[in-house]
Parts: sequence; C-alpha cells; structure tokens
Amino acid sequence: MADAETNVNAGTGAPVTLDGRFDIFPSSPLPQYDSPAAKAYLAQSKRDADDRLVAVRLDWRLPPQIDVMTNLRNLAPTGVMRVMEWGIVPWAPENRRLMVVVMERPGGDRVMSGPKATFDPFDEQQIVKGVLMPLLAVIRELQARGQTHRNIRPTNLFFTDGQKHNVVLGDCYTSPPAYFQPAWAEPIESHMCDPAARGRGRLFDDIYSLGATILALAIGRAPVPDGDPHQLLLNKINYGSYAALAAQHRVPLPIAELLRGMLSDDLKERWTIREIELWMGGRRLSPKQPKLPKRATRPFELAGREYFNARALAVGFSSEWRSAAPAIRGPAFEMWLKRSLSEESVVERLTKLVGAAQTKESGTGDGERLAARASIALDAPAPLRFKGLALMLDGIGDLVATSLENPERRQLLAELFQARLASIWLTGQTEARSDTARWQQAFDRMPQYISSGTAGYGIERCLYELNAHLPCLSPIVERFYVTNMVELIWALNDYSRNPGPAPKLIDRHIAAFCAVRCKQMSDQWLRPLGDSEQSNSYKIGVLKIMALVQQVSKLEQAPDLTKVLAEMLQPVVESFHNLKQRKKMHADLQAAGKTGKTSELLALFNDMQVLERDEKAYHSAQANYHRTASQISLLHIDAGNADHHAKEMGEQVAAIASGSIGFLIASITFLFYFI
Amino acid sequence: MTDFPTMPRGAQSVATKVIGGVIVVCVCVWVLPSVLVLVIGMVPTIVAFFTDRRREKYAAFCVGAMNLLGVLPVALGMWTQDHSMDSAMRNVTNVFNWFLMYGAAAIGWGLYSVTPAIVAFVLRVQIERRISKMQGYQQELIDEWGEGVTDSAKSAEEKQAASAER
Repeated sequence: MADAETNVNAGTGAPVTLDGRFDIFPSSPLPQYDSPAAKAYLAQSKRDADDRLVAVRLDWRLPPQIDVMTNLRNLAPTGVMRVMEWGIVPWAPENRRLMVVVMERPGGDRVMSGPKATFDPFDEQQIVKGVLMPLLAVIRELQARGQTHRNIRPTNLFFTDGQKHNVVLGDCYTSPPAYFQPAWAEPIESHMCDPAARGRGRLFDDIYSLGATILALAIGRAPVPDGDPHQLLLNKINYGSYAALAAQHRVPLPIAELLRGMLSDDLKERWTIREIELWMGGRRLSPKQPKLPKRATRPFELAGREYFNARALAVGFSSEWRSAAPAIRGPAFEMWLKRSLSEESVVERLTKLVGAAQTKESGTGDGERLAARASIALDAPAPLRFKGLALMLDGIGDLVATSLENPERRQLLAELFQARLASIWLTGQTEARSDTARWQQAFDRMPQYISSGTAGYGIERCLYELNAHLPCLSPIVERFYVTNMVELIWALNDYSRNPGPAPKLIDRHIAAFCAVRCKQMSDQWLRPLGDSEQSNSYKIGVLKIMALVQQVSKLEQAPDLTKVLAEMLQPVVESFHNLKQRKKMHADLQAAGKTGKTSELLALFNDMQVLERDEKAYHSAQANYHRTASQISLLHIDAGNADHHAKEMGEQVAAIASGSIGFLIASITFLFYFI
Repeated sequence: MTDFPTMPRGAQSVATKVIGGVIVVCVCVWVLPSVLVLVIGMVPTIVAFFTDRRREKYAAFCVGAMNLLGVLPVALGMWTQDHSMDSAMRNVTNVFNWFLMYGAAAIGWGLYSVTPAIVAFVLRVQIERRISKMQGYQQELIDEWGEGVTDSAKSAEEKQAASAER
C-alpha cells in the first residue's frame, strides 16, 4: 500500500472532510479497492493518523444500502472491512454531492484480481483458519443483526497482510445485494434472478456463496469462469450445485465434504453455521448425496428443449414465455404432470394458482400471466418470473432503480406491476414468511401508481416507494444528492440562481420524490400537475407544493427559488382581468418574491376562487359593455328619428299649451266682464 | 183597450231632424250678430281646420284656442252692450278687432310651428345626455377591466385559446 501515500503527495485536489472526522482525498484514488460500482480513494482520520482507511464513492444512481451500513458500523469481527462513517460530501471533480463510505483498509491485496484471474490455491489449513474462521464470525454477527452480506466472492476478499494467511470480506453496500455476484457463486433461486433483483436474501444464501468462494479458493480460480449461465443453472438444477460447480475440479476430500454441505440446494440440508463449526472442529460426516428434484419418466418438450423436472420446466417457461401459454393449455402438459412427473404437490399448486386461467385465453397478456403462474406453481421458492424478468420481491426496488434508463425494462416493470403477480407468488410459497403482508401492501399500491400518467405517479413513484434511501434522481437536482425536503429546497434554490430561459421546478422525479418523502403531501397536491404547464392551476399547484416542502423543511429562506416562482407566477397575475386587482397583485407579487418565503407567495394565490370570481365578473362586465353598446345604438337611432317624434309630440304639446292658455285667459276675461 | 196608431221609425227620425233644424235656425236668427262675429273672426281656425291633414287636427285646435281668445272680447262686448247686427257689423269692420282676432290666431299658428322644434331640441339633448352617460359607463368598464372587455365573449375565448396554444 505504499502507493497510497505516494498518491496523497501527488494529489493536487483539496481533501473533502466527512463529519469533521475524516479527510478524503479525491486526487488520491486507490484503484485496488475499487468495487464494480464504486471508486476508492485514500481517507485519513483526523484523530488518529495511523488509521488505515479507504473511502469509496457510491454511484448516485444506485440505491445506497443505508441499513447495511448502519449494521456494519460497529461490527466487532475483524473479518470484514468495517464501516467507520458514511455521509454526503461535495465532490469537486464531478461538481456534485455524493455519498461516500469510509472504511478500514485491509493490509493486503485483493485475493482474486478479476473474474478470470488465477491465484495460488488455498490449502485446507488456510481455508479453515484464514477464511472460514474470520468470515463465519462475520456471517454470525450479521445474522444476529438480521442482516446478510450477499457479496461473498473471491474478488471481494482481501488479504489482511502481505503474508496472505488471512482474508477479510470487502464491502456489501456499494451496490444492490449480490448485484455483481457471479452466477456460480449464487444459489439456484438467486441465480435465476436478474442480478439487480436478487434481494437481501437469507443466511443460507451467504453460506452458499461462502461455499462457492471456498471452492474457488481451493482451486485457485473461478470454478466456471466461462460458459452459458443458463446452462449452468440447468446443470445446477438437474445435477445439483456441487456437481455443477465442483465435479470437474480436484478438491481435497475434507473440503469436498464441506462444499457438499454448503452448496446443498435443499435448504433443509444446507449446512448451518453450527454444522460448519462442527466440521472445523474435526467432526467428519459421511458424504451426502445431493437431493435432486424428482425426475419425470418422460421429458416435456418446450421450444425444442427437453425438461425432466418441474423446476427446470419452470425455468423453461420463464425463458420461453412466448411459447409457454399454448404448452400449458395443451393436453400434453397435464398428461406429463400426472403420468410422467407424478408430483401431487405440484399438481395441487397448479390447480390452486392457475385454475380457470389455464383453459382459455381471455385477453392481452393472459399468456404471460399464465406462464408466470405456472412457473410459481412448478417451483415455489424460485423468484417471481414474468416475461423474462425474474426477481425476489425484496429486490424489486433495486430492479426498478437499475432499469430506469431502459425504456423496455420500464415498460416490462409496468406490466409486471399491473399483472398483480406478487400476491400470487406469496400465495404460492410453501414456506411461512414474515414479510408477506408488507410486500402484499407494497405491490398492491403499484398498479394505481403505474396507471396514472400524471407527474407524481408512474414508474418514478414506484421507484421512490420501493427505495427508501434513494436520492432524488431528477436531472434538475441530481448533482445535489437530495435525500430529504431540506436538501430539496436547498438544491432547488441553488438551481434557481441560474435556471435558464424556461425554468421547471417540478419534474416527474421531484413530484414522485416529494409524494413519497413528504408525508403531508396527499394526492390532491399532485392533481394540478396533470394540467397543462401553461395553465394557472399548474403554476399554482407547483407553488403549493414548493410552499409545503419549504414548510416541512423548516428552511426559512429560499430567496432565489422564491424569485423564480414569482416570475413563474407573473402570467397568473396577468390573467387577472381586473386592472386594479392585477396592479395590486403585481406589487404584492414583487414584494413577496423578495421575502424568500414561498408561503408569502402562496398567501396571494391561496384563494383560487378569487380568480374564478374575477373571471365571472369579467364576463359580466363584457356582457354589460355590449348591452350598453346596444342601448347606445338604439339611442342613436332614436336621435335620428327625433325630428319625427318631436313633430308629433310638439303638435300635441302646442295643442295642450294653446288650450291651457286659452282656457286660462278666457276664464280671466269672463271674470273681468261679469264680476 | 184601443191601440193608438204609432209612427214608423224612419218618419220619427226625420221629424226629429226637422224640429232640431227649426230650433237651430231660430237660435241662429236670434244670435245672428254673434254668429256673424264668430264666423268672420274664426276664419283662421276654419282655414287651419281644412288645411290640417292630420286626423287629430292639432293645428286647428291650437289656432282655434288662440283665435277664440281673440274673438272672445269682441263677442263679450256685444253680449254685454249691444247685441245687434249694427254692432256686429261695426265690430267686424273694426281694424283693431281684426288685429286682435287674427293676431291671436297668428300666435296660435306660431305656437303650433315653434313647439315641435323646441321639443326636438329637448329630445335631442335628453338622448345625448343618456348616450354620454352610457359611454361614460363603458369607459369605466374599460378602465376597470381593460380593452379586452370590449371583445365579445366568443372572441375573448378564442384569444384565450390562442394564448394557451402559444
């Protein structure tokens, strides 16, 4: 590791400080500690300069494994690179914030430098004392904390020192569980899965991976470095994992016994930590024959391939899902099940899960759903398989996160959610599970989200619902590594300093992120986002969301964000027809835009009925204007006819006046003469 | 009882007219001096009556009322002093009386001629005031709501749609 110190001196960039306790040197990479999804850099403790530390920079697109890191922080066993601290730091070389994890740096090199690398095989003594003892302690401690490692493979092992006696496990939090595990190092169920969707798994998965790793260590290379993973899977199913992986290699007999136990495909027969410890203590058992799935007397043929057992046929239905449905509906399948396979439990499960759906096709996608149901019935512990996808339910979040940039996969996931197969899979499980209700609820919500095209729903909503620690992946704020509402307001405020000609404060990611992480945000907040972006309702909807987020964040000042919002709301003010009100609103908007508080802006627009009233009053004014104009036109016509009217009226008036005057004067004259 | 013979309905009517005519002639003969003064003095009214083509005969009424006012002092003088043909002849040949009677009729004519113009003027002033008041109201609407208020509702909607499209 002398190169590390050299790199520090050569580095030109300033160190990044994490939590005030650790300095990380972005200019001093330590490529020997790189993970497939995380680059390693030199780190130093501020308290103890003698600490040998390394920091890994996590890929911001992958969900961070916060729960695992929390569990590994105070881990006592020395057989793993212990986590010292993690957090989000500014990463100047990429002009973004990133999550980094500081951990202990092993003294030696990586045991296996690459997937096809070879190394000196470990002898029995080395395997027991140098590998099994430290690693079993780690697995036991993790088990006690309800955690699994899921990254046990030779390429993730490091020697503790230059003497190459003992090894330590590398990280298990820079990527989704088992994401970079080679297929040979994973048990059959996990092997079937999409690498991103293998899930946290169970203790038995770690034991299997440890067994496969020991095999690799014993032979000095990967047991099956090349080859078709699908064929390897079928070999594992048909002949057992031990035979598929170790049969072609010369392994010391005691180690072979250990491997038979650790690589057993039957969970009931796979060795536990206790059994491994007994073996380490010298107890030797007679070698067990692997328990293979029941072989049918005749093969079932699907898409030109022959299948002799239910599990292998389920794999066939999964990979050849297009031709699966006609085969399942055909008479040959039922006959094969009853006469050739003769497994009552499988027939019962098929009747329960497939039932009436088997008889005829009633709509689009029925065939795929039928293939998925049949796969579950044929092989219950296997992952949920649909149209070529295979996933463990607890791996769905990671699968969505890694599929986000692939439109075809997104579509496939949408179809998977809408097919509501998770509950079928849970129903089909023969083993009791404690997380059934949790996953049932989680998957029940997804079809609603997927079916809505509005921002705040869709695949993005599923992404954040299923990944509690994933930062907001919106292009607007992704470089700020936003994990909560405070950071969101802070990031949006920063974005608002130079937002470009057409600022957009809420995209699909931000809307979905807020909908999930801001508990106060109900569906009614998201509804306006479905309107046109030019509409007043959309703009006021954005303002309401921003105001709520700022309120929740308790961040009192967001001056640039408020300014951009005020500018965005100008057209809303312009839509006020009443000029006096518009002028007043302009002045109020200008003033509120300078306060830095989005709530001040919202106070101006909170009453949506003002706009409605203005609209109504405007239409009324228009009607009044036109009515008055009509009356004026009539009066002009009257003025044109005034002479005619005046003549008629004038004659009447003259007659009345004349008569009145005549009567008055005549009366006076009479009085004058006769009195 | 014996039925009395009765006259036919047509004969009754003729008899009534004859008796009425005789009475009128007697009265005219008796008031002939007054009739002479009235007929000669009221010539403008008679002329107005025949020249006024309107059914309502406003001109005749207007001229007549004033004309009668001019004739009335002359007739009253006769009735209170000397109601004879000589007196009647003197009065109708007196220029002052002519001036009085026809002058009054002329005033009636004048009244009849001038009043429509005055009424027309008053009417026009009234209409202009109302138009001005309404235009003021329209201006108030424009001041409060902007020029857009002059658009018809339909064209306002079209403008709104166009701006939304932009």
